Amino acid sequence: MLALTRKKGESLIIDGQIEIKILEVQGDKVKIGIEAPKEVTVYREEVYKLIKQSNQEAAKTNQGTLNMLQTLISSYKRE
Amino acid sequence: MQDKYITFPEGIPGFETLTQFYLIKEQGAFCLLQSIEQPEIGFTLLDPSQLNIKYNPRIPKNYFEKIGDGEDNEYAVYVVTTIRENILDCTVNLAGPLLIHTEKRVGIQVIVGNEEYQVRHKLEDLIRGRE
Repeated sequence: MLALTRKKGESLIIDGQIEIKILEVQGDKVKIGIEAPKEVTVYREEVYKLIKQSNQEAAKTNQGTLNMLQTLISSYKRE
Repeated sequence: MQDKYITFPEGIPGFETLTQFYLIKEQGAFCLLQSIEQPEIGFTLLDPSQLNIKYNPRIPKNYFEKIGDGEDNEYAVYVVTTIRENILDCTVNLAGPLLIHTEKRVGIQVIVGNEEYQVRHKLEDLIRGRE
């Protein structure tokens, strides 16, 4: 991994089109601003990992439970 | 939206190589998003309006632009459910809904801007309207 030291207000440019700017440093928290083309998606890593993990669990469906849930939803559905 | 495939150009996180899916309407509230490339992989989706909560995901604009031109209103939002054997263990992912352009039949999994939405909410609570 490439490690670079930056100060508040300084930026990094990746590939000539993504700018990462250090906006604020407070204790162990760093506020980062990202400017990137719209096709670039930026995630917080931990959220992405959770979604990935959740998708892997979701890929197996228990059919019996699904039928029961269906009944439950119909009984609670808003008018 | 029946029997026609939907393309997820980036795949779905955890299944990045799977890009073609059938969206099959199950009986009632659920839909099945079935992989064409790997038929044993399928996701049970739910139209969030079937839940007894107000679901207002904040979806960053670039997702709309990625799968459409960002201008029209031909989008549908589904939440992914995890259906386990015990009904009490079933969960809904409110943090990562699927956004589908219904006309172009292109989809993407979104990471919403709402910090109050988690990856695992108890499905039973949301059906009964307990947030």
